[in-house]
Amino acid sequence: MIALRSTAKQLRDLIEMRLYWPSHLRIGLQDYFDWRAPVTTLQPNAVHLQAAMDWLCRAQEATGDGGVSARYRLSKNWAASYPETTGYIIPTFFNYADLTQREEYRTRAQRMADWLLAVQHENGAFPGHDVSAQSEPRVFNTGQALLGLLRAFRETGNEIYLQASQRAGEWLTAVQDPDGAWRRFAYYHRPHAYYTAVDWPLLELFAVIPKPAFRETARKHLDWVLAQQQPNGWFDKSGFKDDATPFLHTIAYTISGLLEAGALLEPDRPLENVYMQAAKRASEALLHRFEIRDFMAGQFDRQWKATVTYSCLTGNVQTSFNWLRLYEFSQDARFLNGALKLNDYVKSTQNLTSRNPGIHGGIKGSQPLWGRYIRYSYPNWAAKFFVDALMRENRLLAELYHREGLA
Amino acid sequence: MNLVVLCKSWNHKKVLEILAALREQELRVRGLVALAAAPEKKTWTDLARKTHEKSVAYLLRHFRKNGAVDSTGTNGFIAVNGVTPEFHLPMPNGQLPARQNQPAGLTIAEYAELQQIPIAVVKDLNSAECVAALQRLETDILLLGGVPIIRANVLAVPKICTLNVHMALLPTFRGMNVAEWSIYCGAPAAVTVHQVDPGVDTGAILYRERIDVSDCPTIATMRAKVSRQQHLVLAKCTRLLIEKKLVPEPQQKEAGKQYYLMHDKLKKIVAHRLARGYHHHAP
Repeated sequence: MIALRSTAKQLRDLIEMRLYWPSHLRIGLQDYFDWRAPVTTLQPNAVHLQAAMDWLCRAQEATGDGGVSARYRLSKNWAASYPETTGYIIPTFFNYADLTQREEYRTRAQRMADWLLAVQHENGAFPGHDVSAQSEPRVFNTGQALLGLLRAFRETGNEIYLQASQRAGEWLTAVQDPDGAWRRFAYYHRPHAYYTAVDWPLLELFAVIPKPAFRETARKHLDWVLAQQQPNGWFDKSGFKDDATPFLHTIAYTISGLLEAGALLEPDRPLENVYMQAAKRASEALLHRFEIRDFMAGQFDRQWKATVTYSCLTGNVQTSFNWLRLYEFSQDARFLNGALKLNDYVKSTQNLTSRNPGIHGGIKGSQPLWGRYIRYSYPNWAAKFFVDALMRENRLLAELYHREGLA
Repeated sequence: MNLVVLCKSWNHKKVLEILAALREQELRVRGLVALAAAPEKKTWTDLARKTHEKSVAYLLRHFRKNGAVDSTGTNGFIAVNGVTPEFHLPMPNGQLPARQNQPAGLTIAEYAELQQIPIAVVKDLNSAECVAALQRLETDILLLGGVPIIRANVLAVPKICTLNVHMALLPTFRGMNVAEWSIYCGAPAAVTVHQVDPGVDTGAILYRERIDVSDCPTIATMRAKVSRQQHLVLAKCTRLLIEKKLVPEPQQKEAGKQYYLMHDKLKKIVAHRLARGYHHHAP
């Protein structure tokens, strides 16, 4: 019976992957025969970066509305635009425009910000899913859109983005529970530790509009998250639904929110605040797990034991970015070392030869394709975090080599 | 005093260096316990890749020849004759002459045979088989020669202690590639002899010695120098321990960090510093 069910599932998967498309068949076979082997010989970061940015541009063009398609799905091609991730892709495009001095990326980022204005709810919130279906407002998605709007305001000086940001911030403040958690308008209507990634934009908003409620809302939630942390660094309630074995993706969100919020709250001595220390404790645990296995698993349990054999590529590059930030704050080169290895791993999974525009340059949700996280798809946020991590790596290494007198 | 050397492969340069250093200190080795060479695993994935790289004929040949998985190595005590060793010990005076077409000196195998040093080959260094081999050798002091993490069951066998030599200052630099990490962090190149406990490089420290690597222009030459030196220091400490002239100094867990394999992009910095002549001036 079990064998039958397993065979049926495999057949369903094969149909879902549309393996009759040559480009799908090729990546399916690659992963089937040896998903641990590199798909791509490592190229200089600039090559991988450009390929991922080109993929993101195609994802924007695929929807035609200015937003960025949520993902390329082997089953159904490009999805509709996704407000949450379009929000945080905006800073990535502005950063890449600065790096390459190419206006095209700045223009694209502005189109994204304008689209966000168009999908913002009357009350200031943003919808919870891609725009293919009606969705109730969501706390997390609103926080991520806020990041994009604030950056658009800083880059353009256009007050319209600031007004939209303020309305988003006020909605977030209004729907918070008295204990600091968000339950209403939260994913599965449960409180989440990874909503630290909402605290960070709220603190960015406070830096521009110094309304105490924005800072207090963020602080209250950050303190609620600290209460979820175990002595080994683990955060309870850090998953979407499965808090026992959450994805690395949401663990990394939790850490990034703490890191950035800590840096914003005490910019002069970031490492000394409790939020940064909490982030560091969890990051050390992940670093150890990654280094001793030379592999980053996609899900962990409360003892930081890997519970799956696949890798969540999005979580990998988010973690790499967190480690690079920790290196910046602490100068602990073990974090830089780990980030370099994680980036190499994700680079080795990026397809640079496919003629399929949804595959070439994209980053899979999971390695292999059928891993539990965003299976059979190339999500836009994987490419976005990949670009962020490589740009940060380039900058930090350039500074380091410069200090050493190396070319 | 029964000294036993535990190593990944008995036929390795590290063993050669340890045996030579112990001989210099006039210490006799009671036995060697080593890991059997890992069998080459043949999986469907390997076959698929090799078929892709070579031909279908390869696949057919492979099955005709090898079947599924190769057999494992020999268990228990083995005779040393008939093995082809790679490394050679300097020949002690008055012992076997050099043979034609071979470097002067003795192979590890010949040296072991001459000195009547038994060699035990085990499948797993943390297995009951390994424990039994160490018990049979009536181990007093166990010396580790580049082995993976050794578990408590094995560490419980030696009557006095297990000693390891580490390629950096402890407790500051624990873990891997620590010689490189020392240079990266601007610390002196050094070796530390310590007792082994179930943690990673956390056992009580017996002895530390700094090493001048200013004459080592590359990572390879630096590692070679530190490696050579570490076995001399290990042998010296073993002698001092036997003579009860060393006092173990417990480590504070929080005093150090664990380091891991260094990425090539960071090794570039280490190589650059060595090429310029690395000096450490701190006390």
